[in-house]
Parts: sequence; C-alpha cells; structure tokens
Amino acid sequence: MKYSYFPGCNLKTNAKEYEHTAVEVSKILDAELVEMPVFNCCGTVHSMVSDNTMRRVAPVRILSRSEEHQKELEDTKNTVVTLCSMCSSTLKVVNEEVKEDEEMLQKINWQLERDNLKYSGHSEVKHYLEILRDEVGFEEIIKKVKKQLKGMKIASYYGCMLLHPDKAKIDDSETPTVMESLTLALGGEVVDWPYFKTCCGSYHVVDKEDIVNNQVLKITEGAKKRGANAIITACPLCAYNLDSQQVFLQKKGVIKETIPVFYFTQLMAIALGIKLKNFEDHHVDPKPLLKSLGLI
Amino acid sequence: MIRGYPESMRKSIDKVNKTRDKRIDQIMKDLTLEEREKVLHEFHPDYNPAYKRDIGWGQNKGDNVPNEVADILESYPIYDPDEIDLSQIDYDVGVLIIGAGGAGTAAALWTVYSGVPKDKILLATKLRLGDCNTVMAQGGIQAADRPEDSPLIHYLDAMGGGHFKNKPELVKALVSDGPKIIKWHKELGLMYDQNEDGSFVENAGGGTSRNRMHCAKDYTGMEIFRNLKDEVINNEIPLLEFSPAVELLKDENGRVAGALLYNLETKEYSVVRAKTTILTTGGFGRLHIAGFATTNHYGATGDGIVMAYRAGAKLRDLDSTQFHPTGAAFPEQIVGLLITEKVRSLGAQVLGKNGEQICYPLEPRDVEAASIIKVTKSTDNYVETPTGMRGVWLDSPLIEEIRGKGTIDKNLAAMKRMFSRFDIDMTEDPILVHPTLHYQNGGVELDEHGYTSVPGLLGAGEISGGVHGKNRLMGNSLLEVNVFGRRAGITAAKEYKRGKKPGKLTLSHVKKAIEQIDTLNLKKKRFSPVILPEYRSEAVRDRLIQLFESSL
Amino acid sequence: MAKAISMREKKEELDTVTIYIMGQGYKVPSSLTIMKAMEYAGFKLKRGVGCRAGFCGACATVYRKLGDYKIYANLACQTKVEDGMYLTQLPFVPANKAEYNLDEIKPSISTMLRFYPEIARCLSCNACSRVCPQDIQVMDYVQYSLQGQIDKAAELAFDCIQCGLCAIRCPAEIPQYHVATLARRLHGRYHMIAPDTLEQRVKEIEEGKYEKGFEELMSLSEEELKKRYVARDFIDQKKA
Repeated sequence: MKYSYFPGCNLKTNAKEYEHTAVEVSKILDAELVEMPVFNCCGTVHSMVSDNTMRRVAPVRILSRSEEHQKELEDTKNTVVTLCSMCSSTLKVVNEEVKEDEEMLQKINWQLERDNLKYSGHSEVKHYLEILRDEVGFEEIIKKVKKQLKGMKIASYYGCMLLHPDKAKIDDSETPTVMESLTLALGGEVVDWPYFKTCCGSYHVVDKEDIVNNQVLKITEGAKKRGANAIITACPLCAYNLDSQQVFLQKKGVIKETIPVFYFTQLMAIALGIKLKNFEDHHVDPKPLLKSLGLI
Repeated sequence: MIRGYPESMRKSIDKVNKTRDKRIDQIMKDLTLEEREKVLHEFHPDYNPAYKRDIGWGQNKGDNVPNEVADILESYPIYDPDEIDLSQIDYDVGVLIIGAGGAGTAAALWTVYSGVPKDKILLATKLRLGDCNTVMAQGGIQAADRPEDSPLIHYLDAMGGGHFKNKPELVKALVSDGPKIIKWHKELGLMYDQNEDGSFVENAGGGTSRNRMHCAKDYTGMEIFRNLKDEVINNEIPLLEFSPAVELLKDENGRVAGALLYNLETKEYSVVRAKTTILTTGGFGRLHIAGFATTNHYGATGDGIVMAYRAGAKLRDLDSTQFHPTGAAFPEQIVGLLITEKVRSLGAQVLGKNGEQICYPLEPRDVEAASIIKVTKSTDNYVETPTGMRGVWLDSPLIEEIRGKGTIDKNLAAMKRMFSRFDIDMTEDPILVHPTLHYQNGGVELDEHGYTSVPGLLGAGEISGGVHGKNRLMGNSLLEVNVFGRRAGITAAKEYKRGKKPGKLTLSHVKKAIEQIDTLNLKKKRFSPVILPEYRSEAVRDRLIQLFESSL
Repeated sequence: MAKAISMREKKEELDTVTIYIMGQGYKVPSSLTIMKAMEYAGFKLKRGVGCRAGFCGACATVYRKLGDYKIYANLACQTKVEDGMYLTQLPFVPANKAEYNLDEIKPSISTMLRFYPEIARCLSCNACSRVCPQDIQVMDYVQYSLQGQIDKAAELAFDCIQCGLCAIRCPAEIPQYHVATLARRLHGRYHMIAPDTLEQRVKEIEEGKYEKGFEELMSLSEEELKKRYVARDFIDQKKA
C-alpha cells in the first residue's frame, strides 16, 4: 500500500529525522509514505472565522493536489497522510468544513480553477498514527519488531493538535491510547501521567519564551516524577519546545536533569532495526540513555 | 496556420522533417581561410562599399565606417552648449560610470572593492539599471578553465576569429582573466550549469577549438546581470536611472572631468564633475546598420562613440559590424531577435528549402552570416515568409534526435518559450532564420588597463574597440564586459587615490567639434547622441509639435 | 467605450484592430506586438520598454479583453495585439529588496525568513503564478523557500526576468522576484560548488605559467600566427 504524503514545512527543516524515520518505517510496514510532488503550506492554523474562504484555499489546494497525486500512485487510498500534528489538524478541520458546506467548496474551487485544480471533497486526511493503528495494526508492528525497547519508560505526549478540536482529533481527547499502544507494541513501558495534552506553549516560543518555559517545566518535571526516561511526540513544534527549552532551563539552573524527547517514529525505527542517521537535531542528547539500554 | 506556420511554409518544413534521419550523421566541411575570404567579400555587408563612407573630421578622419556611424559622428550636439551652466555642479564625485549594463555594473563593483568610498561613485544610466544587451546574451561566456584547454588556445581562437586584427594586449587580458571572472561569479552565487560530476557544462562555439562556453541554461547574460545588479544594490552604489549622458565634460587641462546628464522624465540637465569617467554605454545595434533588423536593446544607439569622439578619443575597427548568423525571420513579431548560437552548438544544422545543409553550422559568425546571405541573395534555395522576409531553416528538432528528449527544455528554455508564444514548437519543427545586426566589433580604443587615448576617460564593454578585431566570437562579449569592467574599476580606484582634482569644467572641445562639422557643409543637419531610436509611425511624426517647452 | 475614428484612420487599408491604451482607443495593424502597436500609435516609449526581446522585464503590461472578466498580464514586446484589448503598462514596480552580504549568510529557511519575513504570509492563492509571463510556478518557489528547500526554489525560479508582475498581484504583499534572487544566489554560492580545475587554472595564471607562451605568441607575425591558427587541434566538439 502507498499513501500520498504531505510533509508540510517543518518536516523539511527542523524535523528531518522525523520524516526520515517515518518514511523508512513505512517501507518496512508496507504502508509507504510517498511525498507529493509539489505542496504548499497547510495554512498553519485553521481559520476560526466561518466566512474566511481565502484562508481555506491553501489547505484545499493541498487536498486537490493530493488527489492528483493519488491518481499517479498504484495501490493507494483516497487518503492524505501527514506527520505534523499542526498540519493534520488544519487539513482535517478544513476537509470536514468543505465536505459539510458545498457552497464554500465551490467558491474555493473557483479559485483553483485557473490552476486546473479541483477538489472533489472525497479525500480523507489521516495522521500517520491513525494509519498505524487502523490500517497497519499493532499486531503487524509487533511481528516486525527486531529489538524490543526494554527499559524505556515512555511518557506519550500528544499536545493539543492531535486531540482538538473534535473535527481533527485522532483519538479520544480525554483518554487517548494510540501512542501507548504503540509503545507496548515496541516493547517499551507505558508511563501514566497527567500532562499528556498540556500545551507546550506553541508559537509563543518566538516572542514570549517565558510562557513556553513554564509549560515545558511543568510537562517534563511531571514526566520525570512518574518515572519516565523518555518522552515521545508527534509534532515538530512540540518536540522543539520540549527539547530546546529543557536545555535552556538547565543552563539557568532551574532543573538539573533533562529527559530526552523523541519522535515516535524514531523509536519505531530503532525497534524495527533501522540504523538511525544521527541525533544532531536533538538538544537533549538521547545517546547516553539509548546506549545504557543497549539500543544503539 | 498549421502549428504556427502558414501552409506555404509547411511544404518546405515537411521536406526538412523527412530528411532529418538521413542528415543526422552528415557533417559539412568547414571552409578554408581562402574560401572564407571569398564568401565574406561577396556577401558580408561589411565588405559592401555602398553601405559605408569615410569619416569627415577628427582624429579618425578618413576611416571607412558604416554610413549610420558616420552620420552620428558628423552630427551637432542635441543641446546648445551656450545654454549650459557648468559653474553649478550637481554631483561632485571620484568616479562617474556612464551606463549601467554588464560592464558598468562590473566597473562600479570593482571600484567599490578597490576601496573607493561608495558616496564618491555615481552610476548613471539611460534607462533602468540593467537595461542592456548583457541581459539578452543567451549562449554563454568563454573561459579556458578545463585541463585540455589553456588561455593560449583561447588567445589563438580569438585572434583568428578577429581576422588577426585584434589588439594583442587586450586579447591577452581577456583570456587570462577568464577563469578569474568565473571564480568571482561563483562567489556571487551564479548558477552556472554543472554536470553530475561537478564539472562545468562547457559547449563549443563558432570558431572555438575547445569547449569553453560556460552557460546558465540560455539565460546566461541574465543570470550574470541579476547577480551584479543585486550586488550593486547591496553595496548601496549611488544610481541615477533614466539619465543618459549627452556629452562628456573636460577641464581646462584637457582631461575628461565628468559629464552632462539629461533627465528623460523631467527634461532637465545636470552637471557631474568626476576625477575619472568610465564609459560603458554599449554598442550601436539600434542604428540599424545597413538597414538590418537587430537583436539589440532599445537603448543601444552608439551614444558613447559620439561623446568619446567629440572628446578626442581615438576609435578603431568600426569598419566591421557583427551580423549574427541566426536572427528570427519568422514570425514577423520577432523578426531580428536573437536565436542563440547555442542552438547550433547543440547540433542544429542550417538548411535550404529542400532540407539539405547549406554550410558548416559553426563557422566564425561573419562567415556563417555571409554563407546564409549568399543563399538568400544569390540562389532560390531560401524560404520566403508571407510578408516577404527571406530565411533559411535552423533544424532545431535535430538537437533532441542527437541528445535526447528534453534537451531543448533544459538548455534552451528561453528560446522555446519565445516561439511557443507564437504557437511554434521548436522541438517538432525547424525555425526560420536570417542574419541580424548583433554587435559593434570596434569602438573606442583601449589599453589593457581600460584607458582610452584621452586622459581621465576609461572604457569597457561593447563601446570599446580592439578586443575582438574585425569579428567577435560567441561568449567573448560576456567575458569582455566582466574583464574590462573589472579592470576599469580597479584603474579608476587607482586614479581616485592619486587625487588629481579636476579643474574648471568646459565644453570648449564640443565647440571645436561644431566648428569642424560646420566645414563639412552637410546637406541635412543631424543631431546626436541619438539616445532613443525613432519607431513612431510617420503619420504621427508628421504632426508633432512642441507645445509646453516652446511656451517658456 | 466607442472609439472616435479620425479621417486618417478611415483611409487606412491595413488589417487593423482597435486597442485601448490607458483607456484611449487606437487603430493599429493587427500583426504588431503591443509594444510596436503603442509606437505605431505615436507613443515614444521611455518607461515600459527595454530589450524588446523578452529578457529584461521592463514591459510588463496588464490588460483585459472586451467581454472577458479575467485580468491578463504579459510582456508588451512578446504579445500580439487583439481587437478590444484594454491595456496599461506598469512603468515601475515598487518592491523592497533586502540588502545582505552573501558571505555572511547561509542557505537556510531562517535566512529566507530573516530577509523576507512576509513569505510566511503566503495564502497559497497562486495569483503570482497565473500572472507570470515566464510561466514560472511562483507560489511553489515561495513555498519551497518557506520549507527551506532553497535548491528547489532556486531551480524553479531560474527563468525569472524580474518584471515584478507577481509582486503587484500578491495579496500577501510578498516581493517574490527578490525572494527568488536570494534563493538563487544562496544555491549558486553554497550548493553548486565550482570544480577544483577552476581554482587550479586561476592559480596557474597568477603564478605566470602562461607568460612565456603569450610572449611567444605575441611576437609572431600575422602570417606565422595564421599558420598556428590553421594548425589548431579541435577537442571535444561533438560531446559537449
């Protein structure tokens, strides 16, 4: 099976390792992510204003371009797969909105007309975690595991965008289980903790870093208190905030110990026996932990 | 019309398309030096006395040049010298550069690199920064940087192309600086085409014995200029656009000491005083020498030669004009526009109406042009368009037969786009060509540092004479603007540091020129520099009146 | 708007069309480009004219056709007139170009955002691509810049002639063609590294390796030089 994969902006810059491991893993699981030939920004945050059609052109353009891409792929579904939870949320919400509002879809299609594009309204947006859960299945993943993540005590961090709003959620927004199930499938230990969807501070990292510091302090300290030795996430921005701000807090003397932050696909790659490129993008060095557990 | 061509031309195209497979391995022999001489004498416009006359006054009196060049030299100034107030100086600078094309911008940048403070520089130009022939150069830039090549071989190629009439020191400077210029361009971020192994893509050109034509698709000049322009802005070099120079100014010691500029929009003049003036105004294509259409930019009216001549500078080699062998001959909207030599470099053959080759496609330009004119003038082997334009076929589809599908898209994007705007697909059908006026081979004589024969005046680029002798090779002009622009900039910086302040400004040299022109007893009083060519319809020109200015 | 027909125009026997230059009607031969038609009509061009061959970007022209809601744009020197064309030229496009020192910056998304933060405002409306006379996918290269894919942005934007039409149409007020210049220069400088042979040759020349050769060649008579020229060997002409 092949999926039309929409990377978004971050996967090409700050989260290259996320993309690399996801694509490699997808090949082993026969649920291959094939990048769209051209794509634009998802629009980042979906517009809350109901009549802001212009803001919805970008996501619908992606959906229509993906439909073109799907036609080129053999053995595929009417699905656009994302890795970034921000992209996932934006695309899902807009997709649902235009499906419900034919008039809006028509208006947007008029904008796309001169580019020879048209969105049918028949695609589904899925986060890669959903593909793993619903289409590959954890049983299948268990079969492919070569190295169990023994000794990894993993706090699954969902952040906001995977669980909110309702139109975009990939799991139960109060008691999600998809990342925990994945952890178990990979042979890791699940850590139960309360901060799995506490906001990381998001874009405030650009101009109000203190907000992000406070959030990150709360989240990472919370994970450590429950005995976690690793945090996994599915969002480049969450990962960046959790990872980089710990180093900042440590330098300031606010915290002593740091906890490494991984994309879930990185741990999958380790478990499925893929050699990881490097850990250059990490701020908190994960190598000591992985070495101590014999995972690298 | 069938795919861009009328039925009358389609018949001939069918023959071309049918003979392609047979021709693919047929290589025409190039001409011997004697055969070259013969075809040039019989058919090249340079050798036709009807198109030429002797200059009537001044330091090059008696030199035989095209009528259009003699016309602008034997012309009165376009202003009245007595109405100009030179006591009020508008810009007092160290280095004035006239003309912001390839040579002018290169000169400006190297003036800055060589330590002249930017507020002591003025770059003035007729139209916009970058309105020049450099941006139109498609094919490439020569530089002998491959192991199997050397500056010495490049020297020999250039001398032979110029019929051994080039000024040797200038050719030496040109070929020796070539690799240096490419290196500089790479520092500026130029995207020269590269092969997969990292080596430069280097093609052959007419008259070159090695592949040394560096290119950036078929936007080479554009790519060079975009980078130079970006650097001019990044370096905050003071710039005056829409301000052509109409005369050079001298001081009482006879040294060139600035220029008189004219604001095309407000119509006021301004006075620039400068320690050193660099003339980079380009060539004369828009004078339509011998009545030919031209590939040149709108502003290429030979203003620099006029101003330099009135200031006493020596000219040379203006008897020879470069006619590019392949200008578009159809459709009418683009007649005269350049079909880059790269089309032939990549393998396109030159064909008569029945699809047989008429000459070796990569002769030096003048020989190739004369060979084509021979066919359209003295045989019936040409193709005629509905408007009566004659041409021969350039078999562009052959390129993809030889090099594979997609070669034209990748290497000749600009060319393909130009024809596709008129529904012609050059990957499927050949294109019709005829020689077109392309380049001013001669000009103001320079030495290898950029000095002209008049103190205080430097030059670079197409304005200059001597580098190319009687004929320029493809890819040596983009190199020339960079090499001599750079050298002029460096020299100007040296002059600046020497610190000779210009004396009192004067136009006495122009008044003397007027006296000489008076003695010619011209039948028709002409004025120059031309500034912009006249393309308004006659019906309109007949009715022109000057309303606002005359009421002052 | 009905065009007033002069006695002279009535006499014209040419195949003509009527175009409206800045709202004023003129009868012009149908075979002309917009630029030549304007000159035929009597305009002596200073703005909106340059190389006249589709390379310099001076003659960006915007027009509508009678009975067609769409707005068109193209180069005046490369576009044939059509009957009922309402046109105006853009004499100038105001668009800020960032100033930078290429030596001190890196080919990264942060460089793009530092000098042109407005690219983040792109709505993906694609108005820029539609108006581009060079058929460049302008929006896509802006997006590549946003994704930090400088190489792809540079390649895609390569054919840009800097006419500025994209910047005029952009609702996000991005100066796309300047963004393209930055991307191309970063790519050309930091990704497309020159081969070592270039540096070697520059060094050889600076060290004077060819001086003797030049001295010899320059001392030859024209006849001797001709002999050398004729005897040249040709290398690599076919392969290119």
